[in-house]
Amino acid sequence: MALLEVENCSLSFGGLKAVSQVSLALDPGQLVGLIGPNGAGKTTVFNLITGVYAPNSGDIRVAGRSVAGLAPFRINRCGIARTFQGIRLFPNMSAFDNVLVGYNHRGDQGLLGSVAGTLGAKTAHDRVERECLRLLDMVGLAAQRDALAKSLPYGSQRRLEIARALATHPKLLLLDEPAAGTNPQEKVELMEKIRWLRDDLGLGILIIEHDMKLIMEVCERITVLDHGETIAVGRPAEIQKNPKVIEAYLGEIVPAVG
Amino acid sequence: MTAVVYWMRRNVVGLALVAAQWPLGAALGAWLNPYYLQIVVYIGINIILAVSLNLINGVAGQFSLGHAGFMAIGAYVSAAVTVLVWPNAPSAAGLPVALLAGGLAAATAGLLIGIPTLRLRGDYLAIATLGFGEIIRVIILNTESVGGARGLFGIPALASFASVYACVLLCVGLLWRLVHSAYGKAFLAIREDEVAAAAMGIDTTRFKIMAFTIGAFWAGVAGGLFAHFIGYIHTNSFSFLKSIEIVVMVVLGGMGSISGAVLAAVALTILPELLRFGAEYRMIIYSMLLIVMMLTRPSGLLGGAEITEWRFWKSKTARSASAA
Repeated sequence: MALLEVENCSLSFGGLKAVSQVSLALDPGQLVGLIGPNGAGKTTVFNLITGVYAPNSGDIRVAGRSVAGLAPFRINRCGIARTFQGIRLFPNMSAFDNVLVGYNHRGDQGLLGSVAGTLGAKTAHDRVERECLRLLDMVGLAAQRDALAKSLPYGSQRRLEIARALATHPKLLLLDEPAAGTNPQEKVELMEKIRWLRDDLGLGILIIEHDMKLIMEVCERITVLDHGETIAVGRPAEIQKNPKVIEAYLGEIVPAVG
Repeated sequence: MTAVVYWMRRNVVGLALVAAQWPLGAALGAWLNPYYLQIVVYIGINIILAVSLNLINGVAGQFSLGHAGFMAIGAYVSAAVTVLVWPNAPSAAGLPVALLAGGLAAATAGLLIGIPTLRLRGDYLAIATLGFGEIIRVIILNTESVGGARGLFGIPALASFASVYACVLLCVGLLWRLVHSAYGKAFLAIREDEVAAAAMGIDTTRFKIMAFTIGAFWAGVAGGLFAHFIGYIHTNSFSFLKSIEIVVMVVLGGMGSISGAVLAAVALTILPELLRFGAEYRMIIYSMLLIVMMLTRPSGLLGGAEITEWRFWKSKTARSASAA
């Protein structure tokens, strides 16, 4: 069964059709890219999948269960985690606490457990703390655990966002421009990390990215959006040659006049 | 068995401190004159108010201007218990029952008010809570059974230094644990970025209402202590100005800092008393000192950090890091 199925989803803001009749499917362990020119509706698709918006029509299913219109926190608990295009960490919290927040409903503490000082709460807290440190270590931020998120360099903030998303134990990870603003060295590391997430953790990953080299190298399949519509679906090599995609990015080739 | 031992070890110091308030109160009562003792008790009540509002305004980032309204509910409900429902109750039983009733009544009001208003943000929430605080006051003002415009007389003086500071320790201790637990980090996350918090699986509405309800509970307890300490309550004590006073404590202490709220509550309760030499200029000097304090430390006395993590050098490096 597909991990994620987006079926003919449409969303309008007033008269503006942000996304129309978009469909996507993703299996566990699959890496799919979502590309398109600026304003094509890529982030809107992410916002539909994560419940920031409810689609006007169409359906979104996670492991066969419809999640369209559910609140974002419920969709997260169905196993979907995301990062944001403009980084949205908790700026005045430490790197460690940023990750810890992802364990909120999983800490087995609850309101009473957190204040009563019981052994059960302590054990649960220690376990969560170990897991948070492991996640920080995984993205290379173990040494910065006490640094405020806002004081971290840009590339580290992007990696912290991925660690925070992983803390919610997702089956599907949505990465919104993970390579934006990172240097070439960081980009190579990021690609390795993304492959590792897919291979070792078995996550399904959907990536929005403008860096074509990254997209073409890591993705098995690519969906191309333009003006809110799907204009192409296929393997990287096919997408590269697709005339509609080239037109969307570079404009129509007009025969020279005169 | 180990669980019981662990729990005892973890809580014995706190519980011993709470119990120690009774001998301490007796000693202070013999040593301090009643005027000073009264100020010390007001400090305690203001600490509970400031720390509980800090959970709503500072930690969860939901700007409420209605804290005096919850204090009023706690004061009147608890006073109604000891005056109307259970007169001549012994102090050891009457006060806890009255405080619990006052706190729960305030928490219920917080829950009912929180559900519709917490959809609002920022200024709109502030205005809505301000309105609710005033509505509560006006309803009480027109309720004859609790004295109406005359105020409520003859409340037994069940509260003392010891009971007030036992509540202070419980309130500060419990809220400290909550805010610093993995569970309580959700409050901070909502303040920092509500959209991201929801995307991390946090039921933001639930946590906002929870902050509001818990904050209102402690405001109610503070109101109950206030009523049973001075023995007479009038709605004028719970006006909009009282709400502002508590907000000032939270802001001056540093939004989100529990120790900052405690410090500010102490400072702002003592300050007007120290300024008594100024006679009619007292409140002008008070206001000017507030302005000076906010100009010199715009992020509050402790800048949102806790006193336990505050080091001079640390704050310096943090500042240079955020400037870079």
